[in-house]
Amino acid sequence: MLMLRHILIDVIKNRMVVMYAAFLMLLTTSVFMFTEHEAKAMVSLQNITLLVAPLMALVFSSSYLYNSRDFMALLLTQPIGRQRVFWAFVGAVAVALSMAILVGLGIPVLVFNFSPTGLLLLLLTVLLNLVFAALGAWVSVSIADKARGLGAVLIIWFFLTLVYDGLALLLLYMFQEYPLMTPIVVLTSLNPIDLSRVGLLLQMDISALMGFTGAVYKKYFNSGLGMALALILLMVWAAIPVTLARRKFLVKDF
Amino acid sequence: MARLPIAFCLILLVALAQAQCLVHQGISLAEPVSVMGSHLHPKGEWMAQLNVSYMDMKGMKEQREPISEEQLKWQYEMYGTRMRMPMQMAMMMYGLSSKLNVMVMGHYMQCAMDMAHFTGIGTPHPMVSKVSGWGDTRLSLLYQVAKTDKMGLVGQLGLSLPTGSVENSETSHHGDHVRMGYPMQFGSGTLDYLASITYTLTKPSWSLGFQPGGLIRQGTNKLGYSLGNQLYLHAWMGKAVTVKWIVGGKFTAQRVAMIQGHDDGMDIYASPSANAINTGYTRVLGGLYTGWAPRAKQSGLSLHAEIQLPVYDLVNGVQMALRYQVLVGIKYGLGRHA
Repeated sequence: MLMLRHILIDVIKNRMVVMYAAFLMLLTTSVFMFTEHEAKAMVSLQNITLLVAPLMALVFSSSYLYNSRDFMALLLTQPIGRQRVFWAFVGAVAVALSMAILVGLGIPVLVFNFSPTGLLLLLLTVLLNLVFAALGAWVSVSIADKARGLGAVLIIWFFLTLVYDGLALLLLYMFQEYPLMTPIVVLTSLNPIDLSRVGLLLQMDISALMGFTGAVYKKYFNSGLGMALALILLMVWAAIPVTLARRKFLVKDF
Repeated sequence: MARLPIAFCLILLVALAQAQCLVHQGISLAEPVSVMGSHLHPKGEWMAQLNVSYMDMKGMKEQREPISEEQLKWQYEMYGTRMRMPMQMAMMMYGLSSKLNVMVMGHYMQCAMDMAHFTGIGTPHPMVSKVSGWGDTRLSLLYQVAKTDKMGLVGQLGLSLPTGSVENSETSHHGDHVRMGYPMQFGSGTLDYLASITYTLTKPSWSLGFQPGGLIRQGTNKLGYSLGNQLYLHAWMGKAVTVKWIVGGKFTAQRVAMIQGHDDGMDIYASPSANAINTGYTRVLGGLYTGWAPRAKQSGLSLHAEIQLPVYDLVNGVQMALRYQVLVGIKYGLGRHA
């Protein structure tokens, strides 16, 4: 716990985390102030956070872990378990970024739109942050070269935010003559960003903005079940890379 | 003029084929000149850049297919046959620290659109619309997220200030003032956010990089509309021909959303460009770039050129078809890069 606290304080004092929280606060406040309808503001906000939160979590978690490699090696020379070192670093990064989201996004949401939808947006953004912080940790533990590692996290981000949907649409277009309900649910579940998007749109119940994937989710599950499934899948998405990173870290030659 | 892009591409392809290894290459040459905010300067240092670009559009298309005059005349009074858009961009960067830089960027644009006006009888009557003026001004902070001897990761956050006009108008053939279409309005009228992250990998003889970014519009302007949000990705790879000269390939994917709302001062049946449903596109451009520095070091003067052609162009509604865009730029830096 002492190690976690020490690293957490170090991460929170990092200029990037402070700038991230300030940027989120400025952005969220201005979206609420400049947008007339709350629902539209929430959708705009979600579109922004779906791009920004994964990018920040991936880049920051991986670069922080790369930069801390010497400190990690030093800690590992002490009689401290590898598992404790791993959880202290990954936990501190994940908690610090979540705190930045809670401050930067949470305070304006509570002020301007204190509602179940606002709280769900906050929850989904924090979960998404955990997923991508875990992915960033996995990359930084798996790829020794920082230059290659940071390139890899950007490619992961770009693939999951933009390319994946394009490929999914292409598949749907190619197989439009076949029943696509089940494949579309599976495809959505395989991308944490889509899961997060669908989760909030189900809560908002705005079918016009839901698109095909959201409409299918709505048809397959009612809002409550669909949302619970989206949340569970997001947690699974966070658990898999962090487990892989932990396994790799435990046997890694520093 | 139409052969210019082909000749340019051929020259660069020949240079690329003859590319050789070199001992050292300045990072300022490594990226295409249209990619802004990819590197930082040390504390207290300045860098100035001037770009002149030219965009050529010809003919109308509906989504991906050309649309005939016959189809257009039932919907609109006139339509654009060709649009030429030269633009000058001036940029200044200053190093607040070796990890934080500030960048300001202004644009001056000209636009000339050849139009065909349906008079009811005979062939359409040709006319020309011209306008020039300042675009929006961009103010950004650049932050060095990570850096190694060969890799750089720079984040950019900024504001786009509404200094460009949204009320450009012209005198119609009836003698009254009419607002020009959306492509001829150089400003957004809104205070917008811009963000990007740039990854560069520089080896002694080659370099590559990519920059995803976006522009997020805030609220609506005084005329009641907001331009669409933008997302883009620049990706490039360059090979040094000599220590002073780099040649490379670049591709750009852009997605610009449709305008939300509309300007009541525009008649939506006047021309496709005056109707907000005919705005926004998804476009992939491919092309070549080159950079040359008179002296083989990172500071000082460097000259750049770039050309891009559309390889995929899907527009919302009916819009003019992009043929090519050319850009030449000059950079002047005082000191070495961070």
